[in-house]
Amino acid sequence: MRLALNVFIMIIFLLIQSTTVNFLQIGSIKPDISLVFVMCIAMFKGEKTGAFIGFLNGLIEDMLYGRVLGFNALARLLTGYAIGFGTKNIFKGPVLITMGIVLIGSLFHSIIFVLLSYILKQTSNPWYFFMPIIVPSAFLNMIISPFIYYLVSKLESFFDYYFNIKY
Amino acid sequence: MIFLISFLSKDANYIDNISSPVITIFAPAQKLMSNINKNIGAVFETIPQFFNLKQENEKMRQTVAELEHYRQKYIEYKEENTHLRAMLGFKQRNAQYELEAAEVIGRDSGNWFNIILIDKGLKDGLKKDMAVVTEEGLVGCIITAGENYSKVLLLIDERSSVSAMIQRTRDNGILKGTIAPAPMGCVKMVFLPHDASLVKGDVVISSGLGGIIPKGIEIGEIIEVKKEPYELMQYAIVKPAVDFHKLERVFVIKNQGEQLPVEGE
Repeated sequence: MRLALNVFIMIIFLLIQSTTVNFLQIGSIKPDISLVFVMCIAMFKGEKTGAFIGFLNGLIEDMLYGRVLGFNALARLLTGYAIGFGTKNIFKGPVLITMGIVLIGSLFHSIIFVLLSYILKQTSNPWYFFMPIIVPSAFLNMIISPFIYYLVSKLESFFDYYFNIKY
Repeated sequence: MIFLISFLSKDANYIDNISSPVITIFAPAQKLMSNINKNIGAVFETIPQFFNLKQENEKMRQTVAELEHYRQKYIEYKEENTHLRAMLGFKQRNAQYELEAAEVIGRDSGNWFNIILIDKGLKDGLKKDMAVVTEEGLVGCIITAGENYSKVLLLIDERSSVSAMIQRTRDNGILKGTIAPAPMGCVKMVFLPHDASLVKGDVVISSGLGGIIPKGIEIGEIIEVKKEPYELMQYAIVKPAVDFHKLERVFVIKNQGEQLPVEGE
């Protein structure tokens, strides 16, 4: 039930990402709030949930906008897993640590994405846009991460109360 | 006395002659007094209103809030109206095409690829490889058509490839998406003859080769021309006419192969 609710919230983030966030883009770059949500969930719930939510997020995105099914799903699955696994023993209290993790996670996701797109022949010169796309988008994700992390922490506290204490 | 009154009443002009100078003298004073009276009246009318000021102020605030809401709606409708008029104008100017208007309902969430979703699909007669345009120019083409939606690959996506020509010189080339060395938001036009005299500002239109995009649709203008190193070709960087960040409504050309006869032809 709790996982289903997280999936539902992830879908809401995905819908906001593909509609509203386009109006917030700076130049040609926009933050990826659904990816940040995946990373925040991975930080809270660990690598398995992070990988699962990331996989579903990527799969839906592939179905909606992709040309190769499973392309985004794999990139987000790996990102969710890596963030969940890599931050297991890190104290995530300070905002700067959350921001740092999201920055590294966004760069990791982009590198996986670029490698996959090159292997699947979706791009011809992937590293050309490393600086103009990947780095600024990672920084934008980093900037919005405290807000989404705060939201996820509140939701998790609520779920803890609702599922573990109340019932 | 009665005799005098009856005598004077026989001649109406007589009384006028007497009263006229008197009225002339009194009139300004009358006017002044009348104005003072009006002002005093207004002051007396205002006094009871002091007690209703708070209520009235609240009412006014509500009215202002309502009007502000209507103003926002008006601005939105005005923008929409301007846009729809431009679209209607485009439709009338391009009567040879069977156009289907569609609304953009979503956009690729990443920064890498450029695909949009529109709210029309197979049931509206749309299918794969149909050209998508706005009144500004070419947007891209449909890559997948579902029952009630279609995926459109934008011109700036690096997987896109469109046959194009320079309007002035009629030189043909291929427009690739945003690939090196085109800056973000611009596209690269390749395979241009080495002797083509291209200049900055030349308009690029679709050439119609390939059968997907009809001939003559504006694509954008050249912002830079360069020779390919060690090759006999040159390439141009083209700035698209369409602002892809602000796409709201588009047209799908349903009959690119067989154009409709224009009235009067």
